[in-house]
Amino acid sequence: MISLSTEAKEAIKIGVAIVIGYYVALRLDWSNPSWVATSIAFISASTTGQSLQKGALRLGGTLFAFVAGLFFLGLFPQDRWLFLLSFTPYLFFVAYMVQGRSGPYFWFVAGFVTMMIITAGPGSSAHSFEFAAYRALETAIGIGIWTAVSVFIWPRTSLDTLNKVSSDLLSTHGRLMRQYRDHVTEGASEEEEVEPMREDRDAARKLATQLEQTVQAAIAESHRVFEVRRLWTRFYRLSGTVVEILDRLVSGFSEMQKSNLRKTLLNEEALFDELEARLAEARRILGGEKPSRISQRISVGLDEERVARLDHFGKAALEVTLNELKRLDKLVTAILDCARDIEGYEPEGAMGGQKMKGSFGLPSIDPDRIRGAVMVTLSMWVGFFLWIYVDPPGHIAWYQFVPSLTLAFVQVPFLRLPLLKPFACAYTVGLGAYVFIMPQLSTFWQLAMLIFAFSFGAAYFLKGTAQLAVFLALFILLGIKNEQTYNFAAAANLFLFTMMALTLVVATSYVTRTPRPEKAFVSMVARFFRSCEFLLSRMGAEQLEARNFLERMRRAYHRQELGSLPGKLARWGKQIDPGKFTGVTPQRIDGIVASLQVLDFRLEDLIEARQAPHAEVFVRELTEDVRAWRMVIEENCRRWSECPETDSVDDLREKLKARLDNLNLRIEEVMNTADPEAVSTEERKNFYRLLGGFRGFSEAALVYSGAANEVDWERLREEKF
Amino acid sequence: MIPSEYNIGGVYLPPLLVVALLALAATWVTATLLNRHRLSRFFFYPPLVYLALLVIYSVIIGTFIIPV
Repeated sequence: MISLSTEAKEAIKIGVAIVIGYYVALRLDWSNPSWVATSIAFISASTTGQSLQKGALRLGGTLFAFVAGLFFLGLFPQDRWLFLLSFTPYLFFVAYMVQGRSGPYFWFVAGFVTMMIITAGPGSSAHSFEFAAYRALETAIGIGIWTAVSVFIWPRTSLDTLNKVSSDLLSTHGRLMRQYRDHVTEGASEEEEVEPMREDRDAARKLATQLEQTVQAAIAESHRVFEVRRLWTRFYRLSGTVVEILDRLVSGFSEMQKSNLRKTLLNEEALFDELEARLAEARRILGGEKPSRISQRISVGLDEERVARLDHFGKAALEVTLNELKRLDKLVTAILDCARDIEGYEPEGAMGGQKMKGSFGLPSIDPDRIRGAVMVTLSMWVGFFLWIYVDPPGHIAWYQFVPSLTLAFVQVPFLRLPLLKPFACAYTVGLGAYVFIMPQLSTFWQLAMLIFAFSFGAAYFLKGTAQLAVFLALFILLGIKNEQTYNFAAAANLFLFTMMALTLVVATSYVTRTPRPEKAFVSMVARFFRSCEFLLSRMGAEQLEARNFLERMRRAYHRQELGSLPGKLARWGKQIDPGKFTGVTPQRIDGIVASLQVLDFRLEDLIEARQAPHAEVFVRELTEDVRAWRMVIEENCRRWSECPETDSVDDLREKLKARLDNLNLRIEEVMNTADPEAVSTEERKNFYRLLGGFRGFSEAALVYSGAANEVDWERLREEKF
Repeated sequence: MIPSEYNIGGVYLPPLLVVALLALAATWVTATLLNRHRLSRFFFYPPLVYLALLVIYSVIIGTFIIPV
């Protein structure tokens, strides 16, 4: 008995399903037999649940497009300009949504199927309706065929994957806790602290994303998971937050290390041991075992003698760390409770739950997604003009296929002409099959072998764009129909058109984005600091913000920018070719991105601490001193937004030290003169958190300054072809 | 010189296409050399310079080498 690998089994399943799809469509003489196969090829995923979820999104998108396409056709059927103008906002909206997190595949299908419907039957409205109906029908049948095949042939359930991913994620979190504890005990240096944890932190992030997808898939597949879907959703959201809090602790660790504050915290190791034990317990429970331990409450205390000797900024740093540790404690408890609840055990409610961190409240616009949406609509208009005024090979497909392709590639940050290569290869092979093999075939079973060979080859040997190219060659170039005709000129023109269409996609991406990743990187760093500057300048203007809707929108926009830009910078930074820029190594780029991430965390802490209630005496006496610090930082953010490397680290350190020392003295004065009864314990804590926020942001700014001065920005900004 | 079509295996190509392809290759080589020697930083907007180079090479090749 031959033992097949999982990849081979999946590829065979896809091949068989596509052959069945073609058989059904040809047998029933449907409008375009390739649509069933297209649906199968694009929803096929590794587990039944994932396929069902993707299939549901595809069907939903197709039905949405069905309505939208006929609506636009009915709106201005006789006037092409009004038709196009009315359709543009729709395409823009769809392209914007494709780049978001809520159902991008749904929006992608909604976009390209609408394009197909509106370009299908210029002759009569009945034809358009028939086309749209066939498209929906064939998509649904494709989903049905793939579901049947994936259920009956070598079925793979999402439940196994769900168990494995959740177990791996909890183990990784446990390892991270252990590593953090070990470093606390051994008092490792900053670099030693960060480096070994980086790998596990990256793995945890990937697993958290994978868990989210697997949970969605398992909800679609299993009734057992469906019933507790809210708990599973909560579980993956909580798990995703663990890495963020650990990141904050790690960045705070180096600051604590510098000030030798670590020994002031008591019980920190015991807390991490307990957290690790709770994560292991959650893993065991999700693995099917009964609960075997009761969580213990560990409070991290402070060595009061040492605390008394600290200056106010030292106390502030401790307060911030304590706050983070409490958050982590609550978070891990909530994860364990979730695991218990999922498996039907009573949660340890007495430990208290973790409140999920909400979004920024108001929806905000992402400029990069706007650019992507402009790119898609621009490609449609250019395609439309080319069709109407030049009419090169491809004809109406310039108007229909080009925006669909752009929609497919809009999420790729950096498009280049080598994108044509896999398509050229796949279409050459397809053309060869069309010319030399297909005319020799006389029965469906002979054709089935060809279809199977293509599908299996694409699914087994290829991935990503190359796989897409082979499937498109099979579905479009071979043009399989009941009344098969052969036309070399048409096939060669299709080949030529596809290459030109891809070139146009790349060209439109050059109009809306820069073709140079280093330039995009520099401009994103500038955007980051513009947002920092804005948010810092609005500190203390919360009352104005509460009244003014526009101000709240602006604030939400800048917070969204700060939260999303480090991730985008990491993606673009990877595209910078270090060979072309001496002194711009991937490590230095990573250093910049990591320091910006820490700045984002610190600014968020600062804003959060600023919003807490504060004692009136502190506000009255210290506002001017805080303002002086803020002006220094604000000024630096403004300069970094214009030129990321302006100040030397020492200059900035001196400036910040002067402000912070001054602030420390003033606090001492205020503390000595203020009535102790006038300041509650809570207000004192909030004040130290705020102070910790200032200190943390100053430290993070210094780290950025150091990282930025190692990069040759002049070289990155230089004009190039 | 009289313009004439290029015959490659029975496929006739217009001379302007051949000139454009040669000009594109020459422009690409020039741009690569300018990048390598850090000379492109002296241009205000290199994409326009690229286009200008393409036109200049097309005119030179079309006038002196392959008549179009």
